[in-house]
Amino acid sequence: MIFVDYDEELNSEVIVFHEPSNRWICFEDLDQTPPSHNVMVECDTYTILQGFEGGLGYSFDEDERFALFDIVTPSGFVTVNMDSISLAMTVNAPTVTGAGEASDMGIAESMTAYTPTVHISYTYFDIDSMGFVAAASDATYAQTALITSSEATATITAIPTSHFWVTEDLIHPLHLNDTVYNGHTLSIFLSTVTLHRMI
Amino acid sequence: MFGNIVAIYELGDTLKCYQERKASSIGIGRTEYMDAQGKITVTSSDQLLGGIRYSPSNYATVFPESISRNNRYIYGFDIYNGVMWRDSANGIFPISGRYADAGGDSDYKMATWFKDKSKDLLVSGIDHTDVMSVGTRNSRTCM
Repeated sequence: MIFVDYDEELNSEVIVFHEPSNRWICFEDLDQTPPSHNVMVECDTYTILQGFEGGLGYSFDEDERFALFDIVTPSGFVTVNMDSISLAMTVNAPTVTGAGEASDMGIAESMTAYTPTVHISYTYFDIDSMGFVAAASDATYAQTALITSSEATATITAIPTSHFWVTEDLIHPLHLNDTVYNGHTLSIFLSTVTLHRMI
Repeated sequence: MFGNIVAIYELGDTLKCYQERKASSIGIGRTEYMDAQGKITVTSSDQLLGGIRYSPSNYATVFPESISRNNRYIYGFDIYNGVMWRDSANGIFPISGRYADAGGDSDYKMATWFKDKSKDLLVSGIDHTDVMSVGTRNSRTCM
């Protein structure tokens, strides 16, 4: 008996009854006779006596008066050796696709610490090399010094505030926070002082 | 009365007629008479078909393809009774499970399987279901 349920495959089964021994003897694999196999198959070990073709279970025979239900065998009659059935298999190359997301906890950073460069500029007046003569105390005579700096410019951060004034080549007079240039000349003048005789 | 005729088979001098809810036998070239005591006498007749004798059982089928003839037996599947039956000159009997007749008891031990199968097919719906049988000569199997 062949049960075929076209909606629920689990209901499709084939069970075999052995007539001489009056027993149900085994189940068969329904997949071995797919619906697309529209021709009868004659196996080497047994012969199919009755079957169905295109959904018709039998045909009426006028000569035999119902005695023979002749199933017309299609022209494409196929003989199958059940002991030697070859199978062809094709192994498809697998395709692997991967995706990932970087963790923000593991991102490496590289830093380079540069060695700082310090520039120090100053103009130094050596008091021992400076001097004013008496005749030079009219504020027209100045003691000069050459500005030597590691930078192109320097800023005046300290300056004598009494009895002296200072000039640069371009600045007259010089004040705090003024900018002087490397290679220019500073001039320091003695202010006019009033002398008092001590009695 | 018992549904449409599903199949008609000739078995010897009897025409086996299977309707959707009942099986019956029709004598070919013979007729039957029943006397007052209920005894049936079969005689030849010039009529091609005799009277209809219905089976006492209700085994039948709605699947024409499930009926097949193998040797002197006719097989069929009754989804509403949940049995596989076999018809012969002695009458129609289930071969899926246990039954008893004058010849003794028989048990084919597949009653539950056929009842479950019938229930599953009815739940799924018989409009998209095929039940077929086929017999083989050499091994004398029916599947």
